[in-house]
Amino acid sequence: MRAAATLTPDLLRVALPAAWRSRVANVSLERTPHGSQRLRLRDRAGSTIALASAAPGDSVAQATEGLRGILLAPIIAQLSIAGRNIEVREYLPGHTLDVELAARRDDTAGAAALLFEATEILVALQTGSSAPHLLGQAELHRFLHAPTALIRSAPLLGRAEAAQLDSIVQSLQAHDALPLSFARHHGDFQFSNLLRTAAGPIAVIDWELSQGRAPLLMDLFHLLIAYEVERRHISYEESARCLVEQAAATGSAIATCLHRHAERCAVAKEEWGHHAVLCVLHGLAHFARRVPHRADAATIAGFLRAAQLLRQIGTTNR
Amino acid sequence: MAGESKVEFSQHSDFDAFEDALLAQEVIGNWRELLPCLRCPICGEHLREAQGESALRDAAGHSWRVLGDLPWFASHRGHYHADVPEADMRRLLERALQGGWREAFAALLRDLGSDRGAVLAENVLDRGRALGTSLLPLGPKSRVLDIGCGWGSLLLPMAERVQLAVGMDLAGLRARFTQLRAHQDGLHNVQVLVGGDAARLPFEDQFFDAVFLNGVLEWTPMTREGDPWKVQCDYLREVRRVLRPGGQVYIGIENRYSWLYFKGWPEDHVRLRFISLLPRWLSRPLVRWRRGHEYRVLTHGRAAYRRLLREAGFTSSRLWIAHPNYRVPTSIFEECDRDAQLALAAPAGCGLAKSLAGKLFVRSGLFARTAASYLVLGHKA
Repeated sequence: MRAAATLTPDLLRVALPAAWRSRVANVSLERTPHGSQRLRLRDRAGSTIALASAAPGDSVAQATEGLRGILLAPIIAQLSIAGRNIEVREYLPGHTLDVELAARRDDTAGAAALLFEATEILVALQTGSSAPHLLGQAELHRFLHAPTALIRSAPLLGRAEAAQLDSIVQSLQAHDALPLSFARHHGDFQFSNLLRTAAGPIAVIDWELSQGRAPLLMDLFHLLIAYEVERRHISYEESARCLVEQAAATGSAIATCLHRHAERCAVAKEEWGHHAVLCVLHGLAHFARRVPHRADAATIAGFLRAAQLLRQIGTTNR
Repeated sequence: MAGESKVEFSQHSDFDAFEDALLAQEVIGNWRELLPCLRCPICGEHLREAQGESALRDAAGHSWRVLGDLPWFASHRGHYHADVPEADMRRLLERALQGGWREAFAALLRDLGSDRGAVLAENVLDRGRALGTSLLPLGPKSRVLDIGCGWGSLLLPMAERVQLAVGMDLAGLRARFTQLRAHQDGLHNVQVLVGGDAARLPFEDQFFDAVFLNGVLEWTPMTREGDPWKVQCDYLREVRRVLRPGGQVYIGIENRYSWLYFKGWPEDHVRLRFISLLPRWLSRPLVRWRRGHEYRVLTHGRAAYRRLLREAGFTSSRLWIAHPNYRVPTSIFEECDRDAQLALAAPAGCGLAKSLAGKLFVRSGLFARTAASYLVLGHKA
């Protein structure tokens, strides 16, 4: 449980490279929408010049290694404060795609086009994904047992939901081994983390939740759940329900997107259902950890139901 | 206050803690580890465990009970004040002792219903409430004291990264719950005490690296006699005593001149409109007339907070603005950080009129002067 010292605004200033230290006039502390902390660095003119946040779970190099054609904010400094890795990245001016998506709230075709654009970026990000391999103990712990434990520790988890969770985990474990493809992982791949820069290209920002390499569909499911949340400002639980409905409806934007992604990344039919469950569990665990007061029994039940339904869709339709 | 709902259903009642079965049972028993640094809150003498009874004694004969796991340094025997009714709190504790705090808390939320339950869930579980603690350089060897720790929303997240996290609260039942919660979550470096209304803090000199007063300083004159300013100043002197050299006090508090009060929001503590904006010679009789008690829960402006810290012996102070308030801040920036203020007062895409007004508001210094609340850090040399 015991982890790290605090990266205070003062400490960050001192730790910056000299050239940057002289540029920074103010450092403020923020809470990000997903509940983690971020430091914002501004220059004397008052413009944001850099952002500091927790570094990805695995090394940054592993998360972003070999990326071609994907714009990333350059790294200014990588710090280690009492064992905790912090990454300071240059701030890229532009606007995030959630603004464009919200503007297309009533324009279904326009919103779908944006979803396909985001999916293309994700496919590019995931190039070089691995062929399916059986999950080892370490991977099982990381992608199944650890998220499950986090959900179990959610203070508002009811008994019925705990039983539902147990049954899902048991059904996954019933398979002797889970064959899954892995790919580069962002961890929070959604429209608000895709930035259309002033120069035009789209940059992928906020890598702090990246786990290096992770099951291939993890980022895609995250994007699809965020799609309706960011477009129509509905809850995550409602969005998970929409995802299930649309995934089953041939020709819907989400079904098309899933189909295109599966084709481009060559996801095997038998692994789709496993992916679906693991991805939903992972998203739910993250939600329960960051905003435990919102992870109530109804929300958890909604996500678990979505996981089961997606699994069924995967085994019947894919 | 915007987004503030803490005292919507606050409850007061009295009970006898010394005869209370819920407090009597010792479950955790780690308070003895804290014993070497405990001092009598009356005379400051060393405390020792009394043989054969659950109590602490000093050489001068002062005696303090230990109820189960809680050293009891409060002057009262069981005044209850918390944001859930006493009967609910008792049910919560009973269930937490039997089946764990999580299940007990989920059951309480169900009992309270969706609206009140959501407010309480946020008060108790939202880790974002501890954002301000990142202003202090706490590390694995730090020892921190959270006075008025309540449900532990600052104390418990901090406990994950420090050596020792001590909480102190006047509400005994809630303190018991916080201690249980920490223990059941595996945070064995947390110790909660009941107290905070005595002249002295029950700790030896220079013991803590940081002391947190989040929504507490303004209330100190309510449990002490004398001029409220002097009471607050004396309290901060006492905080300074238990801080090691180089340590810091963290004060989360409302601004007397908050823009919300100008807009007509009732003052957060006495719930009267415009009251804190009036001169004290006028506001005191008004509060006495309207509320039937003295106006002692005093907040100040930013210059007064600085003066207060200076008079209490802190060598330097820094003031941060917590937006939208210090209880659930989403961003924290220094008073000189005008761009952070502009981002809030004149966000990109707002109309020309709002943008101009916002810029004027920030550049004239009015934004910083009328921020809803502050985080004030005092440094002990």
